[in-house]
Amino acid sequence: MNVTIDAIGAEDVEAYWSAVGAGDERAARAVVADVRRRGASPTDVFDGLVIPAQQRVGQRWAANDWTVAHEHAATAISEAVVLRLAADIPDPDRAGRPLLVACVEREWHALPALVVAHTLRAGGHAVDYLGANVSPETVVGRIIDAGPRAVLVSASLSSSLPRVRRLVEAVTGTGTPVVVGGHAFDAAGVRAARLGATAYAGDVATLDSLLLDLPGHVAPAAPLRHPGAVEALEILAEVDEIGRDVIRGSEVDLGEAGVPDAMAPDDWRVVLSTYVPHVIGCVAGGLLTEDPSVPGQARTWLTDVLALRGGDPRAVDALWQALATRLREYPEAVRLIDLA
Amino acid sequence: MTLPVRERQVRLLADSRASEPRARLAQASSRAEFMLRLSRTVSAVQHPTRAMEALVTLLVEEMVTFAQVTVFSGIRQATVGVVHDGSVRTVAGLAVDAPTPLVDEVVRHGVVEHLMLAAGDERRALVDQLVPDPGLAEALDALGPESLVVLPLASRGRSFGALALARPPGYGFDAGSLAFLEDLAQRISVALDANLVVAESRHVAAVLRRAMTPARTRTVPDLDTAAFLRVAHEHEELGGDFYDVHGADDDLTLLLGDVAGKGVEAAVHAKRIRNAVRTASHVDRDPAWILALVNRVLCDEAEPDSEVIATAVCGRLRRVPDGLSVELANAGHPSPLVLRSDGAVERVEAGGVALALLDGTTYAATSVVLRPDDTLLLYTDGVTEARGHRDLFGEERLVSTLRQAGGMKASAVVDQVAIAVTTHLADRQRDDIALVALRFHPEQP
Ligand code: B12
Repeated sequence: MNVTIDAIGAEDVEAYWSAVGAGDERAARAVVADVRRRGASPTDVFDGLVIPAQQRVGQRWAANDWTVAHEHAATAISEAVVLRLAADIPDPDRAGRPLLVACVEREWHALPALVVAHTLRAGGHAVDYLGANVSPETVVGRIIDAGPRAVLVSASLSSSLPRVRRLVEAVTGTGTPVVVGGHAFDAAGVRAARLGATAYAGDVATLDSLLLDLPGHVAPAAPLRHPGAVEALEILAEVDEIGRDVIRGSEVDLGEAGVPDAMAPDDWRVVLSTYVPHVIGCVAGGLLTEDPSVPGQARTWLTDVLALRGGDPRAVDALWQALATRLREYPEAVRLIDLA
Repeated sequence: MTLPVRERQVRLLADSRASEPRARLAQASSRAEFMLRLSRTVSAVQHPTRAMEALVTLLVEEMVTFAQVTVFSGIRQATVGVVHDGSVRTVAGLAVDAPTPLVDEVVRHGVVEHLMLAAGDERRALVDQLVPDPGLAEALDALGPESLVVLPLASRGRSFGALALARPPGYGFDAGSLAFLEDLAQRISVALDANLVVAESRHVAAVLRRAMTPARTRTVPDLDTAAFLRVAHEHEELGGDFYDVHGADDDLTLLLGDVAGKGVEAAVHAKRIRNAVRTASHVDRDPAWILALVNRVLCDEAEPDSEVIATAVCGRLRRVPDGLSVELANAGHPSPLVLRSDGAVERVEAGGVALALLDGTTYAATSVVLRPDDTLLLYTDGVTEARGHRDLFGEERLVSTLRQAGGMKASAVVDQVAIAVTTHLADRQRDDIALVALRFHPEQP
């Protein structure tokens, strides 16, 4: 998505991008102050500078130009910029029932939720932002305290889908509608629907129009009883053991005890082994949503990433083979892995 | 105007005395089913006002053309009502100071009111005695109901509200349906009361929590700070890890610590220690002196049945010509770390006994100087003792995570450690976790 905003030119985009890349918060803020003086609104800055820069952050890491640490440093700058702009957005005069915005537990991609929260505020909504890594207990607690109109859940990782389901169960259990969004979902909203979410929205504009028709009260999400759902829970219960066996079984030389701590954190072998729990989470997510493209996309991405890091191209196939072998007692999982 | 009344709306309250046994049985079972659905809905929606909305919505969908519920209980006083005329529905939530006269009477006497309404001004006057929201009152009057029922809501021996209902013109309330409605009101009362009790106890807990939780990271010029705090007992939202920063911008006191134990009790002790440190620092900001004094206070106040043991790091931050001077004293707490801007990590050792163990303990401070973009990291043992699949997270993993983060914003440093720790923990049970990073980031380096 490339938005054209009058007050933001290509030079601004580049200047912002180099500030973010250099981890230079003051330089980033200076670019923002400049476009703000020329009339850009806070949400223009989100759309015109922050989101495009974050897309480039992802490309840089994938291309092996940047380390994970570099990705963190850059994202922290964008986050600081968004928080600073948020102060320029006045709170709505009419404090209606808030919209609760949260990431699921162990989802650390907080910036998408932060941008969504403040874009909604700019649109006149009362918003209660809970941030990254939020447990279902905390969300239910906030529901009891604040009685939100709806809970908006952001998930970037497909391996978060099982935790999205847990949160959907907790939230709909209180009768509160739950709308989900983020890179973990498909654009048609099929995964979201299978997980029992009240609705899916790809962006804030869609969400905004959807809020009007949202029911005030929803029934608890229907239990997932298909064979894959049962397997998903069993697989998640032993994710550590499965991960360990898969790393051993894929016969990729990762040294004695899995990954030697001495290896550079962005070495392809480290990437591969730290990615294993995410892959297993994607298999579970695929089982819950009956969508083989969930682990499929994880595989494509891993293949690309390893190739750009000079990794052994057979490593991904070996990993998939080891996964299928390790999960042989789970027929639905094996079918899904074969399809991927 | 005749209203298109849906059949099911009539059926639940229809007079079935004259019907044949089969029809009576069918009505009894749909009444039972409806009652169950209603109380389930009200219990599931745990926020009282939302629950009231769900309640009146369901009532007008299935049974009546007007429903209004009023609740007077502790912190919550609200009226929510809705009319159903086939297409339009108005939900009016109102925070009220005093109940309308009709509601007041029903709440005080605790008996059902069944009112016949004559058309015209008289009806409107009665409606106004019941419905505080003018728009809703008008809508109800326009529906032209012939009668109204106002039922008390009571639970645990006290009445706390009222439920008012009206049916479409041409339909009234007979003895059989009134008995059913009284049953219904009782069910609703129990479910709503449970909601109110939970909300009120959460309100109390929230007030406590506000007093007890660590201060938000305060903004200080040239200091970039970030914190990650997670409690073990999520439902209590309170824990024994504590963190505080206070003083003048150019002479700050810093405190991070951990009270043995979890939950509310630990939080109460943590608050006491924070207060003691604040008081002491008004006299002298020397961290060794502060910890010694706080230790004495805790030993003095120790009650035989409650053993409060705590570890803490106390620091003093002052600007010096070549950077930010940090003096640290340590009472049995994991050693703070300094992350240099180039990624080098140093431990700041300053040994000392935990607080409240030994009367008369003394402490000695160690000092380091932070240069621009150096970061001080304080943490509790919830970080290093996070249980993984094979082993504890440990200081070594902490240090190797930090090495990647030299010079970065404090929030990026905290995020990286928090991600590493929670990934290591996976879904295993955790202790309270606290992690604070302070980066010296002067405007003019
Ligand atoms: C920065 C980043 C990180 C940083 C995050 C730091 C931080 N503190 O946030 C770090 C380095 C930690 C990271 C780690 C990982 N990441 Co990452 N990361 C990203 C990246 C590059 C940018 C995210 C971001 O800031 N986006 C900015 C926001 C504003 O944009 P957005 O996400 O598009 O959100 C918009 C919409 O999606 C929508 N939206 C989002 N949520 C919601 C919710 C609702 C209700 C609604 C209505 C709309 C909505 O509205 C937003 C505003 O327009 C993305 C790629 C990308 N281009 O987004 C990958 C990405 C999210 N990461 C990915 C992965 C796989 C990982 C890792 C597993 C592996 C790795 N090394 O990359 C780890 C996992 C770590 C963990 N345990 O959580 C994948 C996820 C793929 C998938 N679906 O599973 C992505 C998509 C990259 C990719 N192309 O594959 N990552």
